[in-house]
Amino acid sequence: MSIYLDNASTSHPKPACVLEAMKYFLEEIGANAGRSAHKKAVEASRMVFETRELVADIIGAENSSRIIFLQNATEALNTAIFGLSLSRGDRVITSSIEHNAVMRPLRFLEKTRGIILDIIQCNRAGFLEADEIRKKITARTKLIVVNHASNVVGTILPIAEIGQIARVHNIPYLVDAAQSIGCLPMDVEKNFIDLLAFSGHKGLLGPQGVGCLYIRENFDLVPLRFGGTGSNSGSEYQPDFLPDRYESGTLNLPGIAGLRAAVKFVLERGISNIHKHIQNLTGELIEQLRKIKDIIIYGPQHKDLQTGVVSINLKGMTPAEAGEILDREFDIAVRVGLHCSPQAHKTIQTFPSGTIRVSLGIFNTVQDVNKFCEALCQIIE
Amino acid sequence: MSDYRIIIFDSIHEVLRADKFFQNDGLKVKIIPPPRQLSADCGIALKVEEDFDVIADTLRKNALNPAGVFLKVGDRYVSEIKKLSFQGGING
Ligand SMILES: Cc1ncc(COP(=O)(O)O)c(C=O)c1O
Repeated sequence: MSIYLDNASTSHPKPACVLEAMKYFLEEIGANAGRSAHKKAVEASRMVFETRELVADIIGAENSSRIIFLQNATEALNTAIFGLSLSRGDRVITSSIEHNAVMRPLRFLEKTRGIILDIIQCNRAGFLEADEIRKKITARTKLIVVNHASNVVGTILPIAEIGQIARVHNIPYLVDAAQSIGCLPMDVEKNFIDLLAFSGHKGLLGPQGVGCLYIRENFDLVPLRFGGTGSNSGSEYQPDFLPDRYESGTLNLPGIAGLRAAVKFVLERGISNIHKHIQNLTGELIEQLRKIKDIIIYGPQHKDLQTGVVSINLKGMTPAEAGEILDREFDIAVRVGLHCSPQAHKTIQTFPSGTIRVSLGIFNTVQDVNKFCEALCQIIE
Repeated sequence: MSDYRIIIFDSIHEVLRADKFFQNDGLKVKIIPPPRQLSADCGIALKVEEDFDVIADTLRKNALNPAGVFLKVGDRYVSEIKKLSFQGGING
């Protein structure tokens, strides 16, 4: 039996209801949403609408029209970052553990438009204090962007405190919730979030190919894509109402149908229950890893301070070698090497060789953790 | 009942949101292709068989901001949008 411990990359397996919902959509509905008035088209539009309402529910957004369906978290982050129309001399505050989905757009704008990045150095466990962000704020600060949880070490950042600071200074606040959504509770109001980006295929348990961007009321971005929306068809100008303004082109409807079933599943299980389950497994994993000698554990090493993401290394072996043996000999899937975040690896001092990243999901069990740790012991011997 | 009203919104999202609230309030509502005489930019409209005040109440309560409300009189559609005087744009 293979063991899947790569849920931070994408969750697997998906609940059976997700597959059924996608099949049902393709077989029985199949029409485009927002394009016609026939029964199947209305049914498709309704399916998208209901998914939006469910996603709004999960993040505590009052108005579901502020939920935009895109391809993935990366597209959501790009829509947010480019949509702000930053110009020369504008400053952006971010952390040293951001994913490349944030860093690459920012570095591109630094190079091509002359924006200035204020990167807050996190400590070796990936932490930063909200106050360090406050100290960096200037009159030219036009964006604060941080991830809710690190994809390399799982560290949870104090997003509410940072949000409060951003709101007081009236600075747009973007949170990358790719790693936390569905695993940690989220409330955009309580966390003072203007823009929230996340994928549907990780903690929300949906299929690959759908990501979401939440845009707070009265907050405008320049769209990344322009084109047909099914609405305002008599006009050659992009609509100014949401969600249409940011959703030009045909949506990934089978993907959204799958996401709808997935989010229902997550809501039925309850995010706090899912959180508790993964938290317990994380605690168990860390405890067992600590007992194995010749293992280096990175990050907070505490189940309350991180998600189900744990990065380690075996002394005297590269992550790639260890990953290969885990896969070949033990049928255990983990991610090894660099995890799309060079700064995070520099922060935890594992650049350029990287780490073995174990990431737990809702369907993992204590047996999985036990077997993984036994496998490590055997490899070390 | 022969009296009914057609309600039009800018986006399909708003039509479906309104449909949900009308249904929650137990009103007689149906999604239809907009009648030829009325232009609905998003391609669908709501047909509601209820009195104006009842409709207006649900619209107000839920900050729904239609682009048009029309009463069917014979084969004409009479605009009632001016009777809806409340604030707040559809999506802010
Ligand atoms: C923190 C973080 N941000 C962004 C992303 C990008 O997500 P996606 O692959 O859905 O675009 C990931 C996923 O790897 C991530 O872990």
